[in-house]
Amino acid sequence: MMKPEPYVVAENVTFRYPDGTVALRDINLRFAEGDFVALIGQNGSGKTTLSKCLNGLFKPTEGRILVDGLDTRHTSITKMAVRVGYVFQNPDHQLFNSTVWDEIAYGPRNIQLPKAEVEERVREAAEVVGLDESTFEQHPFFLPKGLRQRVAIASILALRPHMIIVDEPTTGQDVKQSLEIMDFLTRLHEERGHIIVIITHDMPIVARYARRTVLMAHSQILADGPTRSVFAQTDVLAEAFVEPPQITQLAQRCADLGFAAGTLSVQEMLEQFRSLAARRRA
Amino acid sequence: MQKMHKTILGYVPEASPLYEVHPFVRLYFLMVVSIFPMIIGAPEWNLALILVVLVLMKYGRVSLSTLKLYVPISISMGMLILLSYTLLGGIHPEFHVVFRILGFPIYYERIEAAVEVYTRILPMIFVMVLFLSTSRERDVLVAMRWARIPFTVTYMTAMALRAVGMVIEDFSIVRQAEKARGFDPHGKSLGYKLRQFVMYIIPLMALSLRRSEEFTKAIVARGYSFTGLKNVKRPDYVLSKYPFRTRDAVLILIITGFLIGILYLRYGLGMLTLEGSVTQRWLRQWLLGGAA
Repeated sequence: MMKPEPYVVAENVTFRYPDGTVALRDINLRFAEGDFVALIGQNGSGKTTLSKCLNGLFKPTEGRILVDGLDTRHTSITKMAVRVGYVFQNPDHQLFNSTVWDEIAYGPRNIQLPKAEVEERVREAAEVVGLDESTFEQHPFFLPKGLRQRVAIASILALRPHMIIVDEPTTGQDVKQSLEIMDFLTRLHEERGHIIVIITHDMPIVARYARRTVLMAHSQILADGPTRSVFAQTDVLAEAFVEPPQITQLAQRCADLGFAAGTLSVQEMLEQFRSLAARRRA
Repeated sequence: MQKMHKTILGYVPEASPLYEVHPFVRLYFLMVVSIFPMIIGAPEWNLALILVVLVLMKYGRVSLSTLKLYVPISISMGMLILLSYTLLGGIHPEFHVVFRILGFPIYYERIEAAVEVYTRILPMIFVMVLFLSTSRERDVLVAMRWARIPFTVTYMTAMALRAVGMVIEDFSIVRQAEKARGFDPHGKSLGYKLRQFVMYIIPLMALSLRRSEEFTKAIVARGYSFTGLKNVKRPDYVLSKYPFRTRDAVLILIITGFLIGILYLRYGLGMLTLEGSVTQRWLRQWLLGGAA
């Protein structure tokens, strides 16, 4: 089977902040069609800096990043915004219009789309994130945080970027809201073909939704692969001070009984347990 | 690459000689040297003070590019001062008319006063930039605590400085967030940028309101009580990290010496005034042809 063409290619990327701190060190990474990636690691490991480099907000100090064939160092931010969308962790950083409608329409208007298309995109983005028409005339500032987060995501979706980076999508959300947000990111991925990258500390969410996981520590990538195999690398995870979900840890501790180190969910654990029990009975 | 300290206005190398100086000396420099332009009337001496500050910035390895940010402000301020002193300066038959704009007389004396005021303000800005470029929020607090300024005042200053730092940080994130939605102000007119400025202001206001509420709740939750301006004795652990050395005392004496010297020159000998200054002679020659 042929590997899909990469949409984003980071080559030997190093990034230094003005104070001299090296936030990224010689990063090589590719994102391709079909990717649903979790970017994990401790605070200060370089996750957010890397993701801001991916959409051209930060330009690499060394190396280069190609997005859809365009070098981020020489591409305008407007061109990058329609290719890689970035949803900030705190929606309050990006909401400024006086109505939800204007907020979502801001991006499409900014790239000077015709009025009819702006309207179409606003309705579509609002529908995807589950915002009904009754919210269109409301002020985003007065919405609850969960809804503000949705407005922030819709405002990015309206630009129809092929790749969407969401910084901490579940922070400050209860379980129901977290699952709703993740479910709709999954729908975007499966039904509309968006490449999704989430930055998160929520390991059960990673285990449940991300097919691929990139583990960062000390400004470098320590592991990159299917979530199952990354969570099975206990030494590497320990080096990055990342703990896999409890069910994975339980399976790893029971490896001598025949449980797989890359177990990701209670359901998987249960199936293995039943299978082992059936074998014992036989 | 050299390691840098994050200061209120930017970054300064850890090895900066100015950063070695005790925070109180830096605060004292700000307080005292800012007064110099109020005493000095002669524009050339105030311009010389700017040169001294620039030399100090260079010596302290402060990036001079920081000053670029203040060029538009300085120019706008200069224009406003000139306009308010000349066009909006009123009718004074006793003054010398240099020329007229739409029938309004522009007096030499008002231009002279505008130049004097402007050259008094400029060095103050430079001194402030030097201070903010070489000091962290913590340095200001250490300086205030070292000077035994009441805790309430220090605490309020701390919160204000922290808020400034947070707003600067928020502003940077808000700008990134708008860029991520395709807003590219590059190459656009100043008018366009000003119209779009609202999209920075609203999130900043919203964040500040939410944060000030959190601030208040946090200090109340930690048992904060207002002690007024009484200097309640408190252990100041942070002061132990900043020893006040002989060199610092010498610097205080030098700065004070300069202040006394300038006061003597100004009020004892009547020097450093606009009257008889090189700038005044040059302005008269240029605008009045030496007629006044």
